[in-house]
Amino acid sequence: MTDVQRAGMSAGQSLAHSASTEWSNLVTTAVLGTDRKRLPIPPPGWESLRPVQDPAVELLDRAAAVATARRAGMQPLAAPLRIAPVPFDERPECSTAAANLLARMLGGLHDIALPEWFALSVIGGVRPPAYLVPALLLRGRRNPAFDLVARLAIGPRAAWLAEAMPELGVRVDPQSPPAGTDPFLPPRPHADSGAVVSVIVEMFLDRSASWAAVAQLRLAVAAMDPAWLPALSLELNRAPFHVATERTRVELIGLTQIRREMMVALAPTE
Amino acid sequence: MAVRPTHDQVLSLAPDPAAATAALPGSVPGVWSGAGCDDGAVWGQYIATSSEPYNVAVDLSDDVSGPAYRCNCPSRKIPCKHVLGLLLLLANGGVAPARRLPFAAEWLQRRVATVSASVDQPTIAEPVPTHDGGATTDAGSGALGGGARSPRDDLGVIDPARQKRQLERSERMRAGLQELDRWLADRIRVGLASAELSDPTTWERLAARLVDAQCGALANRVKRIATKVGQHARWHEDVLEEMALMHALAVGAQRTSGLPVDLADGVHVATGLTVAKDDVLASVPSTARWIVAGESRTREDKITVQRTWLASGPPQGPATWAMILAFGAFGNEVTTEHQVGRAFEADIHWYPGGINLRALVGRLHSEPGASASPPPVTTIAAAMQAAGWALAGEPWLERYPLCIVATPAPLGNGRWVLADDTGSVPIVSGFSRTAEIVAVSGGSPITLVGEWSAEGVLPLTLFAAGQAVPL
Repeated sequence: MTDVQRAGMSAGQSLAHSASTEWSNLVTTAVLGTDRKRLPIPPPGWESLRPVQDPAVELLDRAAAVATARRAGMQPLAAPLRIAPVPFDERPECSTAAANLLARMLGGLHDIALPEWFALSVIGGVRPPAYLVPALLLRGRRNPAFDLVARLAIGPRAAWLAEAMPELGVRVDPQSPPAGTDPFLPPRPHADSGAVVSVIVEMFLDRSASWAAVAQLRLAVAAMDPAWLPALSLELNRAPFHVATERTRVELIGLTQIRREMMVALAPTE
Repeated sequence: MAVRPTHDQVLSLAPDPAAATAALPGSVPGVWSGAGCDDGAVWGQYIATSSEPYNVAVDLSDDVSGPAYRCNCPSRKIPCKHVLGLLLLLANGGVAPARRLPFAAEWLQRRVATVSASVDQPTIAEPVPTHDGGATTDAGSGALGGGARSPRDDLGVIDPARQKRQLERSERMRAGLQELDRWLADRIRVGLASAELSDPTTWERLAARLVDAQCGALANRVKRIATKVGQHARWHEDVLEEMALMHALAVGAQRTSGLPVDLADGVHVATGLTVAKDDVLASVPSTARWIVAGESRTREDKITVQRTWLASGPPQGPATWAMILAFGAFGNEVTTEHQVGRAFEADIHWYPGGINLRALVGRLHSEPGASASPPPVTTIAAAMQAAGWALAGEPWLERYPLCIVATPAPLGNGRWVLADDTGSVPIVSGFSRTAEIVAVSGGSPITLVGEWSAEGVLPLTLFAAGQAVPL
């Protein structure tokens, strides 16, 4: 370091020190009020640039100068200790399309298809995107069966994040589901998905596919052989409009669509 | 003196009976300082109630359109009670001939220039009335006189109606700023520990008065300061800092003629003077490939303010930043015009100001497409230095963008910082998506766009695996 640099650094430190003193004086006076506390004389370099009679106005003038200097001269803080990096996971992240589908389902849209997403991701050898890991872990706090499956899909990043961020309130190790809890798996496929398509179409024709039946119909669509999804989609789009069934029809079209998109987005790549 | 008005003539000028009644206490010599008159005018400083005197002057020389008035009180009545009080004092013979006070001499001189100009310029239908006729010639040069914008149409002809509106607005803003500055000084006199500062209505009343004075930007700032009161143990420092910067703005806005042009324009914009989009789009553009780096939204009353940050420059920085503002009324949300993570080549036109930041997108030279790379990145130290320079240009700046490659690191108590080899900067408290940043980083550096403010960084976008993730 040259003498000039050393002198410059010393002047800078001196100015920073006097700014700190001046700011402290101004804050103390401002808290008590200039009617009760006399405004201290400023350190050299921090005098008001214009003559002012009113001590309150002088305080504001001087505070504006110091506040600007403090803000404009803000320096980075010392870096704290960093956390250990996440253990290596050889599986790549899923595609953007698959990530978007997962995000939509975690947001509550057709989340009956969530178990299938996890099953397909395991088959495809991909993991969920890292930015969705907190949402998956938080959802798992109130659903141990989901937690087990989600952590399997996430991999080592789940335990790593739980340990790095205790404020999340997520356990480092997954909790065992209570006895008798259904595993978080896709529904068992129908023996004859073609027949299920026919039944669904009939229900729309005789207008019994009302919103009251939507839970059963969702389950039926979620358990359908993927090969029959294009046919179901076609039939639902051709189904006659009726005010009693329209909401159900839109719901099932959406579920069919998301399942078909998942098949493409999570298809294993060679 | 050529003419001394009678008592009844003065009262007939009152806009309403209440103003006439309110003027009576002002018609005694004790409330006036430096009152004087000559052949064409009467002036004085009203010192009865406020901490700073009101400068009052009346031009009596115009026989055609009647007297013109000037008073820097916040009243919207024309003439106000101070003007009427001074005229009543004159009518009562309480004002002696004297040399004109500087403010009166200056104003009357400007009025003479205005009248001459109106004779030379036949497109002006009539002299601009009245509360502060002198402000007529302030346009483009003086305090809040409309900044660099003159009320002329494309042919360079003065539009009297527009000029009148602009001057009326300038006058309201000037009065509002004076009131704001008096209010700030009053609070400092009684102290920040005073109980009334903790009362939200204290701030709401001030904000309402600033809205009335058409200083909307300052009104919103006042509301934001109100939320800082009692927020933590050292809130007095935050509030004093904000009050001092508001004071600087209020003082600067009344003296823009003495400021560099860019800074004066910045003061105008910060106080709420709007700039026509056409005027901005008429400026020389900066043409470059712009990446939509981030988007933030804040709610101010019933308005949603959306900031879209565009960045251009070499991959290793420094970036040139442009902020596109959009507003949405309650129940009519802002639409995202520029999707985060996309890039396009376009002309950017800058709003006037001390620094180039707020801008408008002009002509597009390419269709927006997904950006293959993140915005130009810098170190934390360089980003803070850039923010510091911006603050030196416009000290009232509340946020400045940055794009850094940094690693999240815990501070304890749920607080996190973003760190690199040059240091660290805290993530603002209350940010709810820190876990996503930590999860994506996996303990390694990540590219992140955020807004720097005195409280820390508000992360806006993560760039990971070639994808932009808005936070």
